[in-house]
Amino acid sequence: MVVKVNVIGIPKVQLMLIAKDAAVKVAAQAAVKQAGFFVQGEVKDSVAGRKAEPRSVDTGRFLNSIGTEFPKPLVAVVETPLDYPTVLELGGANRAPRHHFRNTAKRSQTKVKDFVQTKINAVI
Amino acid sequence: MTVTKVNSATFISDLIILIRDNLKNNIDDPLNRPANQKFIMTSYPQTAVNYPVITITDTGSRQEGKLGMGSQGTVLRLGVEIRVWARNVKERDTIFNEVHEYLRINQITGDDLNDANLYDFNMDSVVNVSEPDVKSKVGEFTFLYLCV
Repeated sequence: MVVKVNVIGIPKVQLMLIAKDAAVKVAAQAAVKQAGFFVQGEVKDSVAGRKAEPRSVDTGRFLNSIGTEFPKPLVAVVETPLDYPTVLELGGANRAPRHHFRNTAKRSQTKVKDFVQTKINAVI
Repeated sequence: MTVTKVNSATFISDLIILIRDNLKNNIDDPLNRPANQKFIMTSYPQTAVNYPVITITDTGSRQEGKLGMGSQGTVLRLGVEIRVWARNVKERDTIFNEVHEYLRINQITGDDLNDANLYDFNMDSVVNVSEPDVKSKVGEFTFLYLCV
């Protein structure tokens, strides 16, 4: 006895998966962008003294220098091009560390995951 | 106090003391210090010190997951900052290399950090902080710890 099985709709499923794949990539990139700007805001809040860390504003140069870059897909970098914030962040021989970036990274982990989850859930 | 392994109830202090003691026994101090001066300490110095020194501090921990729905055990990622403060860049880099080499090659052999319940040694980042008189290198390391 020969049993013949026809699977229908394969091309449609393939097209749907390709479309979903593209949609997920776009959504993930949007989430990374949203997360990058969110973390940037959180670091600025920390520098401005609105978080647990001490305020690090004198002239405002450091605060205004914090920006977000997207050097490659799915990567956001929150950074400052200035040199002296390294000593503020990590402390020095006569200066206690303030950890604006390190603490913000730890505080923001759940929120960043939520951004990605929400954006991807919206397209699948 | 000697710590030979990290225990669940005291994992933060155990980790710091264990690494401090291991480094103290395996990293050579370039200076001959009086007995009341320390080469390796567990907080940033609050008073004047003779460089080089190494500081070991906690950078925080996070839970990576549980060991099962019915288990109270958790998988923790423990963070530790090892910072080398030195008189010049060469001294800083030499000591930091010794620290890294010790931690790297003693993961599963020799002093065996696995016996101390520390797994998956990872160097997350290394950043230089250069000040006029002191050159320091901040290394952030993490270990996986099964808290049962």
